[in-house]
Amino acid sequence: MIFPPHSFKPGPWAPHNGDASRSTHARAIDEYATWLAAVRRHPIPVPLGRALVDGYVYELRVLLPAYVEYCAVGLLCTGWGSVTLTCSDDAYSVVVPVGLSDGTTASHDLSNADWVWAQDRLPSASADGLWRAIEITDQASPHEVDLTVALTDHSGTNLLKVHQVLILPLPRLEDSQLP
Amino acid sequence: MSRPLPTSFVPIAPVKLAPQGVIRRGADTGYQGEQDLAQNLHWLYAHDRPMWCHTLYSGLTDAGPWASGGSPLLKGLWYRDLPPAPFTELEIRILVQNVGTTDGLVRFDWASDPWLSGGSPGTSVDITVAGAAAQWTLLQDTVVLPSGVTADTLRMWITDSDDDVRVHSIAAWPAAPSAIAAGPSTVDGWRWVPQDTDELAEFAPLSVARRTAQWASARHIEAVRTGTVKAWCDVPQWRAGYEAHATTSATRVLVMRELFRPPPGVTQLRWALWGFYGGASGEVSLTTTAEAAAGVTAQTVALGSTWTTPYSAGLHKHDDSGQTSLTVYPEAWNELLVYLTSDGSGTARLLGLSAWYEVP
Repeated sequence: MIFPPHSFKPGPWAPHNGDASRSTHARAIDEYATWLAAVRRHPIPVPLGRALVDGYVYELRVLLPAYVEYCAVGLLCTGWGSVTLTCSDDAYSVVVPVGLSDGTTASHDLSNADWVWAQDRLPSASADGLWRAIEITDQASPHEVDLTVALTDHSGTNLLKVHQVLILPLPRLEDSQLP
Repeated sequence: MSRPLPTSFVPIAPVKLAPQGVIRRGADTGYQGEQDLAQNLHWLYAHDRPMWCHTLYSGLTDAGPWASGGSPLLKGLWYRDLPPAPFTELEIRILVQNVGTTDGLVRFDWASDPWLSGGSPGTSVDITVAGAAAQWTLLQDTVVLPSGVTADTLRMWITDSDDDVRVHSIAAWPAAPSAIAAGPSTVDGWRWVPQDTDELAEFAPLSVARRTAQWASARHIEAVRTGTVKAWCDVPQWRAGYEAHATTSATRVLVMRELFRPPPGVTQLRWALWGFYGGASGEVSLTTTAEAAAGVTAQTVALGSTWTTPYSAGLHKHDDSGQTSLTVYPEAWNELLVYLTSDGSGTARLLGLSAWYEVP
């Protein structure tokens, strides 16, 4: 298929009879394969131990699957500040504002932490600092990218902590033709 | 006869498989057909590769030495099920720094087939970290998967005579095979059958039996490549004072929340963890939001007090006596919740945790 089959649901095989079934069967296999390649996505956890804090730049290598145009990034946060994300495939940085009150008390209780997402697909970002999903170079095979995460505290007393990071290669949109 | 493995997936125009038309043999210029369908399945079989382990260290500048002396020290442990066939190697990426003058060494080996000093290299790979390299540098290599086991511990050793090798992040995923084996393969009941080109011909529609095998192969890829929820390790010996998760509290403390979404059909989450306590007792409790909502009692692991290299006494996992895997809801967002408890005086430490889906 040349467009991602979002309506496809994997399940048991149901053969058909008659001449027309030749096409039906072939297209079913094609639909399943295209769904696996362009719709199904494995979330990529970035396992952290100690929480990320201001003052460092954290970097790691990630293997992305084929046909990814955008990656959402989830951040489990407490505190106030912003998180800057950069990716070797993206010309501009992404900035995620975080304003979760627990950090103001400096307790950083994990049960009060919230997931904050950079997930909006902008057709073409043209400036640093937008709150959006990361743009990925569209390719017909998996490729590696470098992702960096940097935190900026809102002020000296309202510390920001990132307790977990989750990278989510977004399924290709239904009207986005495979190259 | 061949089983072609293209370098990329090939989108097939629907008209090439239209009703009342001839489905061509395919893979010929300007045409698509049966061989393209088969090649795409082969490509998915080789290139659908979820992450195997990943760790990003924090507080690096303030952390203690990552290596000391000239003998290898164990710095990382990741336990989980091994990638199934056709994978035979893991690709490893490490972001490293070596501000000292002498070269350092980062070695990966497997607990089931270890590198032995003065003896067998086991199943291992050595990555040299050149000295006088203050710049963070990405190094890469592959380590062969051990044979005869379905789950194992990947271990990272560091050797550096002037104590200046540091690892900032680690990532590993299965290496894509370069060819498709001729024979079928079955993993946990899910059967993969490759397709030979000599089984394809013009004006010779595939039998329903062959199509059924193709469908089963797609099901195999979907069911077996299920992904990772977490694969993290932070051994404290080289990060004294920077243990990721430690508590002296006698009431349980929530130390980790991990968001995940199980694929269709997946209902069980396997896990393994590394830890120990320094007082009278300590324990780790694991549950998921699905289990908590259903009132299921959390899995509780009583930590041991022994923590000496190679730390095998500190490993606890889902198939130990008295433990089970965790229940999850497929196709819904879940959270893995991890709690740590001490005796109120000694320190209980959680130093590594892996969680991955059980093949349905």
